[in-house]
Amino acid sequence: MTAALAATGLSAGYGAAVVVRDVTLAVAPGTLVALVGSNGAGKSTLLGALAGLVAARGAVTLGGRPLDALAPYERVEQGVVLVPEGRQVFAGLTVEENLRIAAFAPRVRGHAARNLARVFERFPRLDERRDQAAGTLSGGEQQMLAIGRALMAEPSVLLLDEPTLSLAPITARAVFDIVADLRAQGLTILMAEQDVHRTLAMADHAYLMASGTIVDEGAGRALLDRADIKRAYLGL
Amino acid sequence: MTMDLIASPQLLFSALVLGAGYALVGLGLNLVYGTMRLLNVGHGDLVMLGAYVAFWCFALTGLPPPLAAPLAAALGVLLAEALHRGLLHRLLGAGAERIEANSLLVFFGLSIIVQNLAALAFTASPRALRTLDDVVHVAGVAMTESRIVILLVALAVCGGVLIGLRATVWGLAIKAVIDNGRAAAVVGVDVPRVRRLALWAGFAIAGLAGALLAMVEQIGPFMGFPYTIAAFVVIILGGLGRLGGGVVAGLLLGFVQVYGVALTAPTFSSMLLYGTFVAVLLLRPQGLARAARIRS
Ligand SMILES: Nc1ncnc2c1ncn2[C@@H]1O[C@H](COP(=O)(O)OP(=O)(O)O)[C@@H](O)[C@H]1O
Ligand SMILES: [Mg+2]
Repeated sequence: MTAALAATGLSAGYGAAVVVRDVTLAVAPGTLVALVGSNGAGKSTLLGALAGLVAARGAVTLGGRPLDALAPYERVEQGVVLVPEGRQVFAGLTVEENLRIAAFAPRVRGHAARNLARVFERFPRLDERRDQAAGTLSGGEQQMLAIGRALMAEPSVLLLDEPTLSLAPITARAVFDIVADLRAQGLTILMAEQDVHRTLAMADHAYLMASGTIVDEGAGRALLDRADIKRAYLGL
Repeated sequence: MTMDLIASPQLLFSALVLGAGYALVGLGLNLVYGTMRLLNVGHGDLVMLGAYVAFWCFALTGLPPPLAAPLAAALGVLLAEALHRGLLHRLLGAGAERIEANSLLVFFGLSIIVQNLAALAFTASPRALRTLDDVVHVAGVAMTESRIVILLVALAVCGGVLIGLRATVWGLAIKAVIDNGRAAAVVGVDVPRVRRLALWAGFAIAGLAGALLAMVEQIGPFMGFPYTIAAFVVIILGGLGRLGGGVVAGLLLGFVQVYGVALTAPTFSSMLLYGTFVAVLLLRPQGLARAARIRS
């Protein structure tokens, strides 16, 4: 089967500094694929390169079609949508404006009202705060908003960058529940996450990153059971 | 006697007219700075060029300034596009950190060039437009037609832009880019196109303002500077990206200047403007820099 999203020989970086080197990965349709690795391994850079935000060389394809020449907004139009690290909500805009602007892509512009209703249905907390400035939301609410914003663009592949970063444990659990729910509904997801244990437990497949390259891969549960990975990433 | 003066509706009208002009000019700069972080210290020179458009249209064809205003706005768009093609995409490519400092220097140089070209083309001697200067009495206030036009058009354009930013998808996109350009790209906004649109709008608004203000201002190659200062007061006082706040700040500045002059003397007019600028920088020293950091 053609991968939903695939990268071949992808290198990416900032200016002269190459941070991600020669990465090859594939995300099968309808699966949740995890990207794990310590801080600074290059996970965000890789996701940024897939979204078109970070300069890259190599090939990125969506359902076999090349994305390499496309700007970030054109990749969203194609269905590749990133929920960035640190949420990056529009702090000065209201919750509703944050969501509405995410229906900018022509493909989904006509569905804005319907998608807005769906997001509010999924996240009643956001509905209650729809006229509130996004900057005044709690971290967990901002993460829901960031995810809701991505859903407004009807992603075919969702890229999640550390969605539980600096959230309280109970909120982090709620975010994992949302991810599991999206996965259960058939959404294709590539997720970088610090909570390696929980992530590997739920992932269909996982890539292990270190120093900008992929050093290992396998089914999520299989990686979870490996002694070397336990030592290096799980502190066991 | 002072109390009578302060309470006079005549003074209120003057303050509103001046403030609406500042609000309009400031709105243009706010769009450009907010979306692109360009410190256009030549913003007032667009007002100057717009004023000359109105002057020459009237002098050569008798076209009244309100009808020349769309032409001045069109000139603004042309200049914005020329600047974008010739300079900005290179400047914008240089990296976000350096864009403010670089643009300040570039626009400072361009401003001097434009002013001197205008002086060469039109001479440095100030000119005045004598038109629409019939006096209308409304509720005991004597108003020239030209001032009524300035007030109404300025408020209408400011109001229209603010509504457009809320109610249209491109307007919302401009607000999103002002708030967080990177996030705007992430959610699928065509950021380069939005920036270009905002640049067009910002320059057009400045040109349009100039054509209107030509009816009440001395027109000369160096008339733009106070408007540049006023525009920076507007965006610092109003808050970056808060275009509505900027409109309020513009009106406030008009009141400070008109009532300040009424309480002192006309010779203090410029000093009040520049004094407010310095005071705003002292009271909100975080000013632009802080606002920009919050968003980044
Ligand atoms: N904007 C940037 N400019 C320069 N270097 C960066 C930038 N962002 C990240 N890096 C560097 O790239 C490397 C990988 O970072 P990142 O992709 O954020 O890793 P991770 O998400 O796995 O923690 C780090 O060494 C980091 O310092
Ligand atoms: Mg990261």
